[in-house]
Amino acid sequence: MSDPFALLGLPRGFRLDETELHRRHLELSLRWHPDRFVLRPAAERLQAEDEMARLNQAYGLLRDPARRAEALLALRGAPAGEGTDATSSPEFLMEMMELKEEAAEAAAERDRARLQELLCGLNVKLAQEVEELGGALDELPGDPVEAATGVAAARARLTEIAYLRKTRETLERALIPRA
Amino acid sequence: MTDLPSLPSLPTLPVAGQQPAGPVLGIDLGTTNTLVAVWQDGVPRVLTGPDGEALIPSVVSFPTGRPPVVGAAALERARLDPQRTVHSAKRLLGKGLADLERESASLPYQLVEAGQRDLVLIDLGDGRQVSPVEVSAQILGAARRLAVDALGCGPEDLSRAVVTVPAYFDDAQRQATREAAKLAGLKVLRILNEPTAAALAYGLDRKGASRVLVYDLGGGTFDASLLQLDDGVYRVLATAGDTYLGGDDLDRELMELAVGLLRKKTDRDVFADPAARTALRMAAERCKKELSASPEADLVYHDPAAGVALRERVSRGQFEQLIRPLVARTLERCEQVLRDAGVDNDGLDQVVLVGGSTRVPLVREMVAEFFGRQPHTGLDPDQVVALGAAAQAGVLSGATAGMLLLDVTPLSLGIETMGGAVSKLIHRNAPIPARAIEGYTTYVDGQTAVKLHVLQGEREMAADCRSLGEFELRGIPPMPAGLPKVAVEFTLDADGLLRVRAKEERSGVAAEIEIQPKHGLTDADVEGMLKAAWDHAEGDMQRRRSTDLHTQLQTVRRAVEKNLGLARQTLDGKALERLQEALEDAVAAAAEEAPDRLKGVLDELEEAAYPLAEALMHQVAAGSIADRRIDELLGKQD
Amino acid sequence: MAYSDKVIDHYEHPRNVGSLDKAAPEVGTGVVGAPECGDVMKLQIQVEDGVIVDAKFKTFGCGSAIASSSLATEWLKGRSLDEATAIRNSDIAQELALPPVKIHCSVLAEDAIKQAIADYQKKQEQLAEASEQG
Repeated sequence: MSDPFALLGLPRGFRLDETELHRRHLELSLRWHPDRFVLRPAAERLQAEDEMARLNQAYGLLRDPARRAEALLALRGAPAGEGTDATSSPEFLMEMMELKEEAAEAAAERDRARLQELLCGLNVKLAQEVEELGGALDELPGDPVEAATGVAAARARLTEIAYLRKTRETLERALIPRA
Repeated sequence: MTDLPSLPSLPTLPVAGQQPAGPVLGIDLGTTNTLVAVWQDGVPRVLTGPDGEALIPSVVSFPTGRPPVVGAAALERARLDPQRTVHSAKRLLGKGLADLERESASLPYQLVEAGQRDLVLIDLGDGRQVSPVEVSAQILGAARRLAVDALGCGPEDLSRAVVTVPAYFDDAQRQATREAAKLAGLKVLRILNEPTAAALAYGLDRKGASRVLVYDLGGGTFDASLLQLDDGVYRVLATAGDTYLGGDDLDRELMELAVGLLRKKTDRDVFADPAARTALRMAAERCKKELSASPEADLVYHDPAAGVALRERVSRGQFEQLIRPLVARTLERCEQVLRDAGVDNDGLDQVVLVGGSTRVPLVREMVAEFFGRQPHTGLDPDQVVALGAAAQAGVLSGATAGMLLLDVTPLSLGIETMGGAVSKLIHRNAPIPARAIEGYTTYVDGQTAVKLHVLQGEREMAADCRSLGEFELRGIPPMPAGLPKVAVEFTLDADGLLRVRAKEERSGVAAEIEIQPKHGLTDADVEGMLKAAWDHAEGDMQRRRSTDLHTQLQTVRRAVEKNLGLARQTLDGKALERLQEALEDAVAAAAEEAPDRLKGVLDELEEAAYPLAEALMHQVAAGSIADRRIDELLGKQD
Repeated sequence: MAYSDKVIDHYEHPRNVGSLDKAAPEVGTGVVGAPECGDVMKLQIQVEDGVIVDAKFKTFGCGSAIASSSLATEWLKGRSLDEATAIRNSDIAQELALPPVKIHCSVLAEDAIKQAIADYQKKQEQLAEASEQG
């Protein structure tokens, strides 16, 4: 995907003015939303549709801090690896395993109170992790060689965050009421 | 295809690129009632029929050998001909029989599975079967006719519409709605989510920024949507709902209560008889409505034929105990919406109640308690969705430049991966139009094809999600497992229409599908039905009119016959003679087809029955005679 | 049973789900993660006289990973460590239109087995060293 920051006309960086993000997205939506092109020829309407989809994709990416960090790392030439995790320690992975077990148990028992408690704790931890990662990302030097160590560390951190987020997803899904 | 009922008369479809002169209709196709509105002189306006009534009951009756009857006239036929009178068809749209197990037990009409497409049909019991899409098309056709009459323009000028659906409708349900409109000769410019429509109407005369949660409990569905309003821009932040939770379900609790009580009195299975089910449903609905206004109401059911009668006093508290779990379920959805949007209760500016079922006091009470504030009830719950649809119709016809709606997809979209799990590409609450790309690979060495099964829903396993369709990517050169790179791309347009492309990047082989409704009709079906409709269009107008008149005539006749005893006691000789003659004429007119002649017979019977109605009024001594129709008054003796 | 049916059967009725005693000397444990989707898998083997006598795994969420771990643990039992090291997903080569997998899922079980074997071998070496010293 192309640079989401450029697409929305925002400076590249983790710390981002959320109000400005919404404002830019709104402005561009007013320009490109297909509803604005109902009376225009089909080709223009399709172009607008495509442009708006890209804007929404970029907006979704930047709105979510972890995905924003992911985009920044990709832009620095360090996209997510496709294979298994080579950086996390077995101890950390075991810890994640236990957290998932706990979440799965609460989900199986449909224990809403327990699920909410776990979710709450996880959200606090995630917010803190992401915040620290963001700080580190914004302090990386511009020069790719100098930044290499920092980029690798940020990537490892983001890998850890991925496990926490997956667990959060499990908890959230378990909380969706079923008919 | 099945034996089709004839469809409303349709004008020629507009030629592409040529805009019809009339306004775009905003139609609220409800489970219980349907309304139509237009954007006019800068405001939305709900259109009314010649009787001043805006609500078209979403009921269609299919009398044997006659064209279908829609709306109030169909509602009158519900007890007469329950098996062929379809209500709540919206709940059946895009559904298979398996989806409707609990539902079908309380419906007076018979559901059957149709052929290979696991599409549900209604068996009319006389060799005809109709689909929920056709039923909805009849209702939309009636809405369009109402608009034609109200606006005085030609039908060909009113061929474009914005039609609302519950936000939580899935792809199959949306496609089914679109097909119904097509059958009614309407081009759908946008399928609009009901709570979003309500928010549009709510925000029309409000300036500045605010965050609004719309709580929409309708006849058959529940939706909760959180919107950010910003000087004419409406941004949906999150939405959640339940397509099986609405007023019908509140009624059903009372129905089940009644059935439980009846079991003690009789061995007869009341639920087995369609007429009894209809009567029970109506009794439950009446009781529910009364309980919204008073602390106690009677649940009344009697079936003289079976010698069964029930009159049970139900207290509001008793009713509330029955429905409390249902209302609690709606609040869990509200909680989910807040969580998804990352907004807490304090971040809300207003909670807006929409939908007829929010008149139930317990609903208001529990919502107020949950949000810790009094909800906004200033909107007419019946009209607000239609008004919002008209506002969006205004936007789409270029009439309202200052407004824009940014909506989201209510359900996640993904593909099945090896082992039956779902990999999501577009997540719920993603703004639309949307696109996403994901990379996959093969599972087995030398695998030359990949099966792509497109799914909608939140559950982890493919079997628990709604299947939208599947296709195969073939011709991948044999490679060890894990080596091929299969890129899957989803694009979702502003209408929520999904296109899926897959490409193996090493070899360049590609495949794509546009998702076709799995539970709907094929294009060929729709073409066939449209053609049938054109072919029948001419004679339809007259036949529909005569059917309407027959229905009315029958209703008045039944009412008069029921009260003949009273007529003999109270009417003078002349009046009685006139009434008896008019009644005989009415009986003789059973085979009459000419609308003018039928109208004459009906008018005479109504006039002749007037003294009887007056006599009845003296007897009943309650209520006002003003603004009532004769048959209504006569029917009061029920 | 068709190959794909067998895989799905392993998802629906996963075999060998559970844990072995992590501290036991005859047990090797492998824990691997797939950062792309945040899944973690634990796979354990119990070895007697160079032969795997039992295998257990635990993983959440990822369907392909569950199916492949279940298949792999079935396959592992009764094999020698050398045979187990040589495990590959499958050798079947034919026109099968199977659903795709996320790239990491295709290697998760394989990597977990390798790690479990390595863990077992490390324990054995440590034991040998300890007995030499003692």
